Amino acid sequence: MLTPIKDYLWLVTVCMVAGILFTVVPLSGHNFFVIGLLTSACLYVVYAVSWDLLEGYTGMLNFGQLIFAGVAGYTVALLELNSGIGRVGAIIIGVLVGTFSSLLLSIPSLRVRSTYFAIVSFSVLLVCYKVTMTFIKVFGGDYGLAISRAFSREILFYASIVIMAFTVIASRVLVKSRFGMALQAIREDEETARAVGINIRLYKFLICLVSAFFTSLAGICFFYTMGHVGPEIFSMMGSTDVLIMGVVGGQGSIFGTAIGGALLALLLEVMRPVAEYRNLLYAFLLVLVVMFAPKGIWGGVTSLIKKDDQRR
Amino acid sequence: MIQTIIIYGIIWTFLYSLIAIGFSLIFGVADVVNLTHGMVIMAASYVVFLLVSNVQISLAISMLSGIIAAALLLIIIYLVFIRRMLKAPHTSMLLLTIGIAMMLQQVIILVAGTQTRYVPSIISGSRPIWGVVLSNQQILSVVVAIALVLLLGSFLKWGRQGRAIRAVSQDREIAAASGVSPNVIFTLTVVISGTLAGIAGVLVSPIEVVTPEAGWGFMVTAFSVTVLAGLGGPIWGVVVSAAIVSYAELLTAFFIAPMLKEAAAFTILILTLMFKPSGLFGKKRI
Repeated sequence: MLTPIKDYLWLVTVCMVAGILFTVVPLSGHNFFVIGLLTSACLYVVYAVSWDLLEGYTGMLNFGQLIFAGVAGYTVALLELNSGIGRVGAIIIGVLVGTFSSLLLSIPSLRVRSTYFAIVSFSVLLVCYKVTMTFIKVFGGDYGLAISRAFSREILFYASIVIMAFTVIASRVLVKSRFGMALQAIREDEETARAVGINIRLYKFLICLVSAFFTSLAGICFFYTMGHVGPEIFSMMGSTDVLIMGVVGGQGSIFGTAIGGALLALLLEVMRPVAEYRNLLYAFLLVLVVMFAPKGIWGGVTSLIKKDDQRR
Repeated sequence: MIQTIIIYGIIWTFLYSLIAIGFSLIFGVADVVNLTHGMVIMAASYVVFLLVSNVQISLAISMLSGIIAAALLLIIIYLVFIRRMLKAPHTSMLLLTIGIAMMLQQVIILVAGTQTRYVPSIISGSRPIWGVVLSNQQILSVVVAIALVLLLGSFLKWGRQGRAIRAVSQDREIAAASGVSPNVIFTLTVVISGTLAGIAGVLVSPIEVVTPEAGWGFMVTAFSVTVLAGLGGPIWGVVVSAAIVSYAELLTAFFIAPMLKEAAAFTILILTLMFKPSGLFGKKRI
């Protein structure tokens, strides 16, 4: 029997992690390197978790999770640079455009099985990259778009913590709800899910919007942190990094992907000077995990705990 | 202008046919979306480039090595990785092949750098055809590609193993019950697909520039041609679809922007998925 307190243990943990992260700023003496590192880790957690809502819970493998972040980031950048709409307006429109950019992926793949969702996302990613490189006057080509510092690093760090906690809590609540159960039914078997009366197209459509919403928030926060958005956000490696974090952490588990996102994002920043080898290592890690530990780190940990329980 | 588009369209139709036939054979027979296909094509191009620029051997031998290297590479990928995962869920296979493709791309970058590379032509000179000046290399490429497509078409239509490939593609269980071993057919398909990828890489490299990223672009082409043609259809269906895609790309490249040719292929992909998901000539439900 589960006690009520155990049911809410995860919520306490998330709030504690967020609280500890808040204390890092004064403890580190406003160290920009540490703050930057942790901001990036928090935002990668958001990317990985929202990727997992699609792949781990609904079986829709997205090769281009950062499409949403990139679209939102470019929208905010364009509005900041070319219009007098104001910062709040730019962010709101950015989130909306980023969220609805998921229609590019979901509408073409509603009638076909999920394999084609992967194919479409792969193609959309490449096309986004080419579009930003083609219309140089609008998107700044190779260099991208840059703005002067709008928020202090500390504020952006706090924002990233809030976005992360919000995403993790909301996702967890979502996947345990009836809605989340329906998603998992779709992942397991589309025909059966349809037979028990789940409107597959509607659910797929909605979860794409939700995933894109979280990723857009993180993408905009990333844009302000960097002060820059460029075509590299649509690179194959960028989105594959997110996918690797999700897979290594453990698909189909919010906390698994969050841990994978945090660990690999930290490693990503540390290994930046040797980027070529880092990419090779990550790709190799992906192949290893897919072949030998399809449940990732989290799957390994939980199976150990379960074995322990059985022994008692 | 119009002649240029028509002539170049023919060249790309048959090069795209080679790429798409290799990709769709594995897709149809083993139900594997092989995302390494584009990188195997690039691997062939890079083998030719590295041999030509570092070792003093003739271009013809370099190209042969490129084709053999690509075929071997895909066979190794199949035997070591893909074969063990055939029973895993679809998304695992996609994750596996993108991981391998990523590794290949990084190895290419580590060995040859990210710079744009050029591969010289096998034969020099050029001649005008219908008012369009084509290099002899381009003419050679299209002739070889047409010959290969015809050869493959007849092999799949009338050859004993070719018919076995079609049988497995249509229904694996019934084919197995009639004495066709799906495993043997999978391996045969991989050999054909790898060889086609190698030939495509070798034929494309002197015409186009060679970059590590180009492999992803070929994947989008392969997707859109395959989806437009549909699975389980005839070879000429793939050629017709390749023609539609290559003319759409050329028109976009000429009248809008050369970088956006993938956008044309992508538009065809999504329109097909939305309005005719089984493709123009497909016999399978997707």
